[in-house]
Amino acid sequence: MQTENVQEDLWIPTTCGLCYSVCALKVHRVNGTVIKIEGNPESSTNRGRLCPRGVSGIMALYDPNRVNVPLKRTNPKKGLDVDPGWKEITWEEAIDTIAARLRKIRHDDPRKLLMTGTVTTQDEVPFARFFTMAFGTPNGWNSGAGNHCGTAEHLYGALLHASWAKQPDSDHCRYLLNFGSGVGSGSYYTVTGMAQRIAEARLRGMKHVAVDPFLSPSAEKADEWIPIRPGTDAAFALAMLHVLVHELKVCDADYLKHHTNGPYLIGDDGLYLRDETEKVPLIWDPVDGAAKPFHSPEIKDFALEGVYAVDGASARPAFTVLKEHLTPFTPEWAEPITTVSAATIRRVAKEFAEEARIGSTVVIDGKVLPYRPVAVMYFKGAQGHKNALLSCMALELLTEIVGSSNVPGGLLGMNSCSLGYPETGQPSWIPKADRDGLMITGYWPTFPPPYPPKEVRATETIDLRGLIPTCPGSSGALPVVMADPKRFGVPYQIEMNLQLGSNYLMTFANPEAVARAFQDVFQVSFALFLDESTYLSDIVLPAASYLERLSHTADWMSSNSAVGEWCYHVRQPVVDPIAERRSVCEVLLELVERLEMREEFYAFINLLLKLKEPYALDPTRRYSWSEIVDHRYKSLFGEARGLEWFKKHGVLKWPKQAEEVYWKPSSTARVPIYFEWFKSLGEKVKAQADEIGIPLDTSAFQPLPEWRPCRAHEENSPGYDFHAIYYKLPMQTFSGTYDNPWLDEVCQTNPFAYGVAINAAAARLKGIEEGDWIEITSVSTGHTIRGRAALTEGIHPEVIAIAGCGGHWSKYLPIANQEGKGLCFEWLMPVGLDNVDIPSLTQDSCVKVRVAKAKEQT
Amino acid sequence: MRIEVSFYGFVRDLVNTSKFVIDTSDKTTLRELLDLAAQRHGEKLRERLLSAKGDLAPNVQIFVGEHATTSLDEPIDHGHDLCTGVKVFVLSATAGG
Repeated sequence: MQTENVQEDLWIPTTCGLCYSVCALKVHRVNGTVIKIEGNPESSTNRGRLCPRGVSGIMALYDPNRVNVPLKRTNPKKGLDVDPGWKEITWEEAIDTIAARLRKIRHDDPRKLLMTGTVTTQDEVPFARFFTMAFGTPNGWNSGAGNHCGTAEHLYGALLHASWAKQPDSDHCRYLLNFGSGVGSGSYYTVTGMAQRIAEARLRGMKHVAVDPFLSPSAEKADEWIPIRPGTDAAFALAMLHVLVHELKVCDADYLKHHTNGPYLIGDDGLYLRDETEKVPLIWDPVDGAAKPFHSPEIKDFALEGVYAVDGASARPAFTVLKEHLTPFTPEWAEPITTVSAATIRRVAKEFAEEARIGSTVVIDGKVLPYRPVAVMYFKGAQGHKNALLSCMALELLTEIVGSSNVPGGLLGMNSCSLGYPETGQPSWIPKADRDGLMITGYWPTFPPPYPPKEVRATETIDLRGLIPTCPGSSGALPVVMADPKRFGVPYQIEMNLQLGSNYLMTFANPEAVARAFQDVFQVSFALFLDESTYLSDIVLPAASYLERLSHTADWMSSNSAVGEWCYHVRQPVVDPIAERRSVCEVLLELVERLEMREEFYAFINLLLKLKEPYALDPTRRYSWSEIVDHRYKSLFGEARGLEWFKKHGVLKWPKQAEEVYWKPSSTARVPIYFEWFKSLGEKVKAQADEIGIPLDTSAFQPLPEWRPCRAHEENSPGYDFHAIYYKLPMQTFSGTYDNPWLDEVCQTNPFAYGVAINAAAARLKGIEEGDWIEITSVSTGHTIRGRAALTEGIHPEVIAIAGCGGHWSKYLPIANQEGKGLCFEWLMPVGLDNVDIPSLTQDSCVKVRVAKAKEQT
Repeated sequence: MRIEVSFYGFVRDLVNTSKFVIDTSDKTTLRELLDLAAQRHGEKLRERLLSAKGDLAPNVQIFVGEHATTSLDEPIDHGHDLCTGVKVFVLSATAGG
């Protein structure tokens, strides 16, 4: 560009919105046009780094296929391939139509409104939740995450770490045992910052052991890869636990005594023994030879092992119950289940135990803290199964047994404890204990937190979360209930879906079945593109992208790294919204006025954003979106740190204190190693389900872990001899980025990104060579998908692996909809409660398939 | 004592009007107030707001004036003005992921 033609040359701080990591950006704008996006080194979230998605955001901003004007459907018929017959309308007509619908529903029964969202609109979804709460509906679904959601993993995040997600302590960890998560490799939370932190950890000597069916983008960076049969991670973990407590006799007794319910006495009925007066759990004091309330100041020591008589009843400490429970789970037992040799499991357990360095301490910020430099990570891969609840329990207990939870070197919550910005003390949250001494999260991004256990209620919501309150994330039951609410005792039918960028047809399971559940719903979509799910929409509104909108909640609990500095950013428009695109939050504010619900809406904002005077919203006047954002920032960080300050500086940061990062040693809240309350909760769920007439298998509500086969493990139909799994790519986010030309180009350089990873020897037995078109048929849905074979030694011989969410079919996505641009894994997975882990409502994403060379090779 | 009770959120299916005013004695407790509301709007309102044990449901937050309270059995005017507003928020359990 000629220098004399430059009237403007700016670098604008903002944040990325192409996944849930909230990386800090510097956007270069020249003469009103964005010409480059870089990472902002001022933020410790991503430390100046960006992934391919972040760099490519410029292409999404100026993509000619973006929705630029409001559209309404002219074709009343709906279906996966049915052209909606879009007709351009004005914003006025769109808002009039939507407001009229909403007004009628609110008057009739507000529960008939559903809101669906996704991780790339997570700055807008919380505000939309305020809207739906004020509106009066309990129904929301983060369906963009869909089957990618951590679900049961998040449950244990709450129960054991007081956080939505976890990370290894990248500053001190020396042994990362990673069951299939993408931490530090291109997916998972704080993705780019963590990639650098994990790389540095490996340089200083941390060993990364990846237990994964596939030599995935994460496993390929590990020191050791252990291929495992999908859905059997719990068996591996149980065998490790057996080795730890029975063969090596290793556990952190001090941690178990003071920070878990390990010493709580369990009766023969599997429940706590409680004291007569306070009804709190009892422990056994071996010094005095007496049972005492767990919080008694008279306790001289806690028994972890033994059998004791208390008031004529037999009781054992929870740790003893767990230890006895682990007896049969030997490495030899696990070997045929996992296909991992018993010797390997034993070796890993020994390495893990030695590296845990039980008893050692380290001084940080002048404080002597336990040093347990081992961390066990897992996410969707290990937990996304029919056995999710019990698998996660087994994996988590590895951390608890060696005491490496939220201490230096171990597994850290993101971010369990916040003491706030030093000048204001906000935002602040600290885990606390309930009457039983067990931990309640200080903060939880959705409502309510999973513990204390909620009352089991009739099916008031469309996702079964009233009936099954242990589901913390995207409910796998929602499309099932949506399709037939009466069967589940739901006294209404969803009539309208406010869709905030979620392409749910491609992120959950069998698109045909999901489409049937949604096709009779009046759908209003805030969309960047006319993706597959907008085929079911009645109105599509042109949404402003993250580079065109302002947000007050760019950051959330899991967008800050677990270590380092706190960083709070602004997401601000770097250009004015192009064409007729508008911010979702601004549109919602207009709807609030049209529906005359300002007083209620502002009341929720004040309550949930904790806006106090002088920053509380006054319902007698109308606020703009930027004024609300300004109030939010000033409420958190003081009068001098309002929106204008953030727009200029981009990020407010301060160092984390040791007691925030390593909060467990100073916390009086205990965590369970024996999940006592699961048992009685399951009984209540069963009773309520029976009353409604829903056949539910609630047997997984149990206090101790075990391995149970997925449906795929028991499927023996001839010819269906592969397990299909999916994994996340560093260069795509779910189904939302596949039309980006730069990301497409990157994917084309990698045969696995758009292809199907298959074991080379197994492929050749079927006459399949590198690059051949192959057909994959699901035994569960009967659907067949096509892709090119990518042969590798780096995959379990029983497994094929499919990356991300390709295989688009919308005619409005001209790059993504071409054959060979990835596969839509969801066609292989059935929709149904028999494919869901009932306690966590996790969708089982492991499926048995038939693989054959395609007859047509063009 | 005059109390203005406002309901917010996941009660709109049960309480069509978001506000009502009650003239009652100075000793009225929140529990009695909610009983009165349930008499007006049906027993389902009580089920929505209270647990089976009679405690406040975890997704319900009540403010007497500006003060959040979980005590159902204290007189409403305890420590506050005689004429006051009671705000009952029923939050929605929303899915994440």
